Amino acid sequence: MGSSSGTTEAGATLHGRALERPADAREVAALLAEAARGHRRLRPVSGLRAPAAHDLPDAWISLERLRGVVDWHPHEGTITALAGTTLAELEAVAERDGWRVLPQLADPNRSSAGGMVAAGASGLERLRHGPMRHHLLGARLALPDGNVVKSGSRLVKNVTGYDLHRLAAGARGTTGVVVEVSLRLAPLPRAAWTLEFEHAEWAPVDAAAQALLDSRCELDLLRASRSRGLWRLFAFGAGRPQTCARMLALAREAVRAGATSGPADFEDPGSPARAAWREARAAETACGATVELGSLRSECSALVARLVERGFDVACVDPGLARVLLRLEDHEADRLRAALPPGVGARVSSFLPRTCAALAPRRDPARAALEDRLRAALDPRGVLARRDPS
Amino acid sequence: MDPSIASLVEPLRALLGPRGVLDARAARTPYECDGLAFARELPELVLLPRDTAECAGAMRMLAQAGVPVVARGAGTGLSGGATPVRGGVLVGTARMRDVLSIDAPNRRARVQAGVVNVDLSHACQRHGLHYAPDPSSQKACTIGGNVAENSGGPHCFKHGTTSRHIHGLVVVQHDGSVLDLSREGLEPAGLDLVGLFTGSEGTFGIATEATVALVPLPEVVETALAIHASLDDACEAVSEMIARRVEPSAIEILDKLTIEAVENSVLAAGYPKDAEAVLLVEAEGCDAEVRATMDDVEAIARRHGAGEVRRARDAAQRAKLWAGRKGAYGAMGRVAPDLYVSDAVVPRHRLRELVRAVTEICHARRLKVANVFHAGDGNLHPNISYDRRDADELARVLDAGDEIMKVCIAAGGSLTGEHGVGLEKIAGMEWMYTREDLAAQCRVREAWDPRLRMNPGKTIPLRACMETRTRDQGRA
Repeated sequence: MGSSSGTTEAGATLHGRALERPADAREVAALLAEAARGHRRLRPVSGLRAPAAHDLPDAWISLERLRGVVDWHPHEGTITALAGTTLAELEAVAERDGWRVLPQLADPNRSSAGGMVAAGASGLERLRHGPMRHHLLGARLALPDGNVVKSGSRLVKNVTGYDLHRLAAGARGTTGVVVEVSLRLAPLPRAAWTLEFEHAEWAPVDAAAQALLDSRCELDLLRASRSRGLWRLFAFGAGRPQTCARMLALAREAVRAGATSGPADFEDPGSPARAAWREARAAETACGATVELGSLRSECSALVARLVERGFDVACVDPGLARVLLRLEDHEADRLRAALPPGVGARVSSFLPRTCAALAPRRDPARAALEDRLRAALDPRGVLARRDPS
Repeated sequence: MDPSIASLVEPLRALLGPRGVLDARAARTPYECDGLAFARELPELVLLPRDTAECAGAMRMLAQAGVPVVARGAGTGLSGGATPVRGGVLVGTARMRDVLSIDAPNRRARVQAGVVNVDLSHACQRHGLHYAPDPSSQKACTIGGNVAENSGGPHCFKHGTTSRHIHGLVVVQHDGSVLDLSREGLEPAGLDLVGLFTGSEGTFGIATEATVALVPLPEVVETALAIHASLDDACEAVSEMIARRVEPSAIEILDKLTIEAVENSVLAAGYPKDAEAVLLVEAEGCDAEVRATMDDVEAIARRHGAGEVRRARDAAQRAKLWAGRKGAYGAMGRVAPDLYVSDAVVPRHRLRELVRAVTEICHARRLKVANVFHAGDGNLHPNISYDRRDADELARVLDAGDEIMKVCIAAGGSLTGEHGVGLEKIAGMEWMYTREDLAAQCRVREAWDPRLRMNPGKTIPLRACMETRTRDQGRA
């Protein structure tokens, strides 16, 4: 396949499969069309992260050469970039003029704009700013019919036509290869605050978290993480200096009211808060979680208590999002399944065959059929299809 | 009445009850148009199911007869999305009006599609919560209609349009099957079907239930009215607010003609009649945040010629300031019998230039245009007053509407920010999208509705769909 494109480097491989490196969106679409004619499977890869070595396609498409900001006006609050552009590169452009790229992912140097959309990655500050799909204004998609199509726009508001970019968000490249992304930006905050609270037991940490969530405190991030037998609750907020001061006061009040025992440790607003946030961002990748559980906020406390009681290695809890990250070994899959109450959703972030099989969501047949029809509408020959159970 | 539809009347009446089937001409007449008043078609039959099961049963019968179906909420849409199609049946949600549950701890509610937008917020108020999207028609429009159009409103500047607030849906599909997307977690359990469905303008199916996100009532709210000596200045002030990253919850502009209409009506809000434009801005949050934001707003407005800035925190005073904005469309009825409300989005740093261009387009066609719009989102609403009985004037209105869209698209804008494409803007889709873009959208539509029976002739040009079919058949 490499020979079909003059700008594709010949001979590069990944997991023993050819690695195509198209130079632009048209070349991506041409590769997909050629694969469709040859009944071959391709899979996009950002080029910044090693893909999993299972369910291998016939060839990979690296998007690392699709790099750069396409449209940027500092007075508009939106940015458009090619899919292989890293989030760090986007942040460098936007932050010069006081704007912030959302979502903020754990590793912006190794996360690309297209990869973020394909993975549906929503980042650490989802509690305040919402999921990635809320910041996604539009995209261009390369399709196996050889075309590059536009969905949405570069504007903050637009309801013209169907939102195919929403279909691409989180679809892992199975509804078209994202080649360009338009995002809404947020103001870069002028100040930040953090609050930390540590305890060996989950109950007081949970009480503090619930008190914060029930207060008028506007939280960007609220995370409880567990390491070496100690729970650490980390709250973070950002905004104007005077607002941060007020929020920190509210947070202190809430935690003092909610926590029944244990020490509280507070930091002041300002640069230490940003440093603490960076630490939390780095910890996201370092926590080693393999399974993400999602429930309802009202049921999250009991779910964590149950998991801890049954000896599961809970890495992190986002109480406001009702999200629980577990470090799970594959052999624990059936035990976890038995421990989960109905209605808890699970996503497996590593390839753990037993876990993937045990936690696979029961697909509603009507929904599954519609999803199959939608994928077939955009990729009738299954060029971008995946067969892995995750 | 078409015999295939006539034969369904009695079985449908058995299913939906006597109030669920309207076949008398007089009973069907109110459904012949939505807010796009010049486009009218009498539906063959109007069905008003009470819940998902009734809707599904009716849709199964209609599918067997191969009848086109148009869904309708309250009929407040402005793009003709609920205009009936010839030989088709209209399915309304007016009898699906129950708030099924309010889950305060998880900040969500489950509602039937026919629940009126503002009624939902009232129902949640005792829990300290509200539903954020607030279209100007919120006293009448329904959640189902909001889902179909991905509706906006003034406070979408901060909170985003409807799609941000929909957690789940129950959808009755073209064949009467029910798709339950109501149990979505933090992330969709597969493709984001809820996100795709929201804004699909009734072409994918009929949403009969929605699970919506609720947001806490703000601690402090302040509204400001900045009085400007020119519309240009008001636009420039908004562009500077965006450039300086000021974040209130709503930024609206009303021009002189709108002010006059409002002040001469029962909705008089105390706007100064001699102002060329007013800027209506609201901020919400904690006291410190609101005070700082509104200080920034006032300083920018004054830099751009605002001679007076009135600020209100008192609920009654704020409500009065908003009453003028929310009632502006109704007040325009004093100017002429009909109102064509255009809806385009432009880059926010080019507001002054494009508002001026839109006004000139109307004046060149001897039309009276008033501007009342969501300036913070760059979402223009040029309102052209006309009399639909005057064929020449109607032609000039439609010509102006097309030209406005072309100018906005050429400037990097879009056809519609919140009203939808519907019938009104369907020709414009080919100005904004390539044939390949539209072909992909058609294929997605056919995945939901292979026979294109749901709201045919709306949203995507039929020609694009037919071309897709021909091409695909050729390939096969």
